[in-house]
Amino acid sequence: MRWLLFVLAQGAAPPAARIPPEARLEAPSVAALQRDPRTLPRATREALAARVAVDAESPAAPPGMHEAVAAIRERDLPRALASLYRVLDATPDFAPAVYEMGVVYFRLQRYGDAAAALERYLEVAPDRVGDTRALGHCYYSLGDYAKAKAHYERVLAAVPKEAEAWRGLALSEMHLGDAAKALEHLDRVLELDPKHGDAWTWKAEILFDADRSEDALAAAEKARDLDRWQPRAWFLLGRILLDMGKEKEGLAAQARYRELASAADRVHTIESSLEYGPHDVALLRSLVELHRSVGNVPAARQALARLVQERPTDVELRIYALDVLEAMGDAEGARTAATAIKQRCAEEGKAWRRLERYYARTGDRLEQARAGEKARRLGSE
Amino acid sequence: MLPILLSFGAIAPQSPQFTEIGSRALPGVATHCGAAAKDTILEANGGGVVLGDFDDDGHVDVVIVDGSTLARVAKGEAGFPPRLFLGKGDGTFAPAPASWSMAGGRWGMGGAAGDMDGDGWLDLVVTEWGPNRVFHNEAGKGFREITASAGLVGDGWSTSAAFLDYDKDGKLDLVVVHYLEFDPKTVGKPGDGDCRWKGHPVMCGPKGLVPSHDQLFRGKGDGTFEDVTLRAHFRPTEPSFGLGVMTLDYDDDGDTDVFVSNDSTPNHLWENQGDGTFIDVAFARGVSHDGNGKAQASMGIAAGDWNGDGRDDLYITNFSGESDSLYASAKGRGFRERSAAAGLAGPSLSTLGWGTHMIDFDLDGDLDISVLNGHVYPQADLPGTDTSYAQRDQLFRNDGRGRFTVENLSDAAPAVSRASAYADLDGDGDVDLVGLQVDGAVRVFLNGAHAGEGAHWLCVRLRGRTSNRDGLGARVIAQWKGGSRREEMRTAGGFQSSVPPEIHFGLGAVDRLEHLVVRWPSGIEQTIADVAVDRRLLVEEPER
Repeated sequence: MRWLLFVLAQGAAPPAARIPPEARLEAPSVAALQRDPRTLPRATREALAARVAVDAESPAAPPGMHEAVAAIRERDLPRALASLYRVLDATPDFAPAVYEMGVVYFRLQRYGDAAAALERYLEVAPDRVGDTRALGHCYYSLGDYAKAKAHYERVLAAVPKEAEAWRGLALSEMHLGDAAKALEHLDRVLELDPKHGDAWTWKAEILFDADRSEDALAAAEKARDLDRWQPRAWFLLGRILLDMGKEKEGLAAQARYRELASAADRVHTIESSLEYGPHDVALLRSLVELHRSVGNVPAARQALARLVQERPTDVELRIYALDVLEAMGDAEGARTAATAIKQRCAEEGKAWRRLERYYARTGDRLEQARAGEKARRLGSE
Repeated sequence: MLPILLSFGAIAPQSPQFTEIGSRALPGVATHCGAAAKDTILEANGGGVVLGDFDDDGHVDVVIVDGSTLARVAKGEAGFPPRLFLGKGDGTFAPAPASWSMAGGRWGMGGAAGDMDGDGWLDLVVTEWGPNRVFHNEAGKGFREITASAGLVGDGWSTSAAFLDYDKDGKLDLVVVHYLEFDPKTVGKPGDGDCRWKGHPVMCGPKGLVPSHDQLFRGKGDGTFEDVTLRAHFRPTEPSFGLGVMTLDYDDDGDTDVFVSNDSTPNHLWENQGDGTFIDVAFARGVSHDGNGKAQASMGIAAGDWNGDGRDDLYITNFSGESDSLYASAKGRGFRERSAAAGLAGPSLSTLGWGTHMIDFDLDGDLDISVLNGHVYPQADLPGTDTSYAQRDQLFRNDGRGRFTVENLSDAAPAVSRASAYADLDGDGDVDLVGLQVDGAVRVFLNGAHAGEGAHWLCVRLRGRTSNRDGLGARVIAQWKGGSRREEMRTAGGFQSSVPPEIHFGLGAVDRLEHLVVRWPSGIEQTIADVAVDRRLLVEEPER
C-alpha cells in the first residue's frame, strides 16, 4: 500500500487561529470537525477478514476516498475529514481511511483524536506499525512520554532506519529525564540524516543544559548553517554565546533570533488558520510577504506555489510571484515563475509585458524581443 | 487483606494532601468575572486574593478582590467591592465589620498588602481594570480609601502587584503589572479575525490587542508613591501582556530583582543595578522563553530554592499545550529550563495553570509545587481540544531526588481555577491555600500534613528597624547539621495575589537549627544560634 505522506509539523498549538469570512467552511466540514473518531462504526471480524487490501488511490477504493485524497492534497483538512467520515461510516475500518484520518487530525493539532484514529488503524492493520510514527508524535504532544517512547520503539523495531522515529525517541527520553540516551538517539538521527537541522538544535539544547557550552555552540552553529531561517538555532546561539561571555556575538544572534521569531510566530498563526481555511488568498499572500521579509527563499517559494495553485491562471498572482522571487534574488525561482507565466497566461498582454522586463534583466535579448512583440500584439501598454 | 496486598507492592490509595473546606470556611462567598460565555478577554482572568493579618490578632485574614460584569460597566455601575474576611485561626473566616468595607472600583483584578507607611499595620492595594486603589489600615480598626492622594497614576488594566524595597531605603515600593488596552466597545467578537482556537470561535486576545507597559512606583514612606518607571529604566522597548509578578534576589547580590510573566510575549527579569535602575536580563539569563525559544503564555509564578544551590528557582504556569516551566538557577549564570528533567513537563502540558507556589507542603524537607488550573475558553470542552474548561488542581510532590510526582491537589471536583495564595490558616504548622475560580465560590484548601516527628517546620517573621518593617527582600538561611536552606522574605503571590510577610521552612527530620542567619536589606547580617523548630519566630533587626 502506498498511502499519502505528510511532513509532520512540530510545535505546540497556537493560542488562536484565524478564519476569514471568505474562507468559511462548508457545512459537512463543520459537522466533521464536531465528530469524534472513537464513535465510528466498527467492521465485523468477518468483514475485515474478507477485505482485500486496497490502495487509497485505487479505483476500487470506497466512494469518498478519492475526494479525501484530493482534499488532503489541496490542504483542505476539514473537507478531507468530512470525506473520510463518509468513507468510514459506509465502510467501517477501511484501513487507508483510518490512517489518513489520524494524520489529518494530527495536522489539525487534535492529538487525542489523532491518537484514537491511529490506534484504531493498528487494530485493523496490525502489521503496519512502521507507518505509525505519528502515533508516537501524538502521545508526545499529549505529554505521555512513556507511551511515546514505547511506541517509537515499536516503530523502530519495524523500520530501524526511520530517522523521525529516532528523533521522537530521543525527545521522549529527554522528557523522561535521560539526557544521555537522548543524545545517543539524536546521534543516530544524524547518522541517518546528517542534515537534520532539528536534531542538531536539540543536541545543542541538551548539551547547553549539561553545561557543555563549547559542544553546544558547535551543534547550534551546525543547526543554524543547515537552516538559517530557523529561529530556534539563533535563540540557542544567542543564549550560549552570552553564557560564554561573548557578548557582542551573543547580542547579534539574539537580534537575529528576535527578527526571525517574530516572523515565525506570524507564519505559525497564518499556517494554523490555513489548516481550517486553506483557500484564503489574502492569507497566503501574507505568508509570502513574511517569508520575503526575512529573506527565506525556500519558504517563500513554497508559499508562492500554494498561492498560485489557488488561481492558476490569475495573471496578477503569477506576476506577483515573479516580482517576489526576482526581488529576493532567486534566479532559479524567477525562471520557473517566468516559464509558468508563459504557459499559463499566454493570452494576457500584461503577462508578456512583465516577461519582456524579466528577459531584459536576465540579458536574454531574443526572448525579450519576442515577449515585447507578443505584448504589443495583445494590446498591452 | 490489605497488608498482604501491600506486601506485594500494591500502593495504598493516598488521600489528597488538601481538603477543600470553602463552603465552611467562607460560606456563600463567591467572585464574579463577567458572563459565563466569556466572550471577551476581560472576563477571563478572575479576581484576586490577598492574605495578611490586617487586625494583628495573630490569625491570617483574607481579602477577596472581586470583578464585575460588562452589563454593570455599560450601565456605569461600580464593580463588586473587595471584601475582607477575618481569620478565626482554624482555617475559617468571618466577614469583617463595616469599618473594613470598601467601595467597588471599575473591575477588580488582584492586590497586594504591605505596610506602606511603616505604622505597623498592613495596608492594601487593589489592582483594577481602571484606576488602581489604595486602602490605608486605620490601626487595625478598618480601611480608609486614600487612592486620590496615593499617586498610583494610570487608568489601564493592571493584573498583579507586589511590594518591595528596591532602593533599600526602608520604605515600600510597588510594582504594578499591566495586561493590555481593553475597550468593550471596540473589542472583536468570538470568531472575528484571529479569534479562533483549534477551529472554534473564542474570545479575542491577547494577540491582536495592544499590550501595556508595567509600572514601578517608589514609596515615600507615608502611603504615597511616585511613578519612577522611566527614571528606573523599568520599561522594555516593546510593551508586553503582563500577568504575574515575583520579587526575588536572583543573583544574590542583596537587592531585589523583579520577574514578570507575560502572556504570549517574552517574560522579563528586571535585574536591580543597585543604583535605582533596572536592566531586563531575561534573555541572557534564560527565562524569557521556553527552551525552544518560544514565548509562552505565562500566568503564575512561584519562587523557591528547589535545587538547594542558595538561589531562587522559578516555576511558571503556562497555557494548555505548553508545559509549565521550571527555571532552575545555574551556578550563578542565570537559569536552565528543567521542567522535562524534573518530570513536570508532561503532567502540565494539557492544563492551563494560574496560581502556583513552591512550598514544602508535606513538611518532608523539600519544596513541592501547587498549581491551580482552569482554561480561559469555555470552548475547551468542545471536540478536539485535548483539554477541558474545568481542570483538576495539581500538587507536584518533590521526591527528594530532583523529580516530582503529580497528584490531585485536593478532593475537590475539577474547577476553572485562577489566583491562589498560601499561609498557615489554621496554625497547625503546615501551609494551606486559598483559591479563586474565574467566577464561583472561593475555595479554601486545608493541608493535611501531620506536623511532628519527621515533619518539622519553622515560620519566621521579621521586624525591620533600618530595613523596611516586614523585612521584604531579606534573605533568611536555616542551617542544620549537614544542610541548609535559603528563603527570601516576600509577599508577592505570583498571579493577582499576595501572601503574609513570613517565611515557612519545611524541615523534615531536622528538629533543631544550628543557626538561623538573616541578611537584612540594610546590609546587617544577624545570626541566631541553636534555634528550636515547630514554632513561629519573630526576628528583630539589630541596631547598627
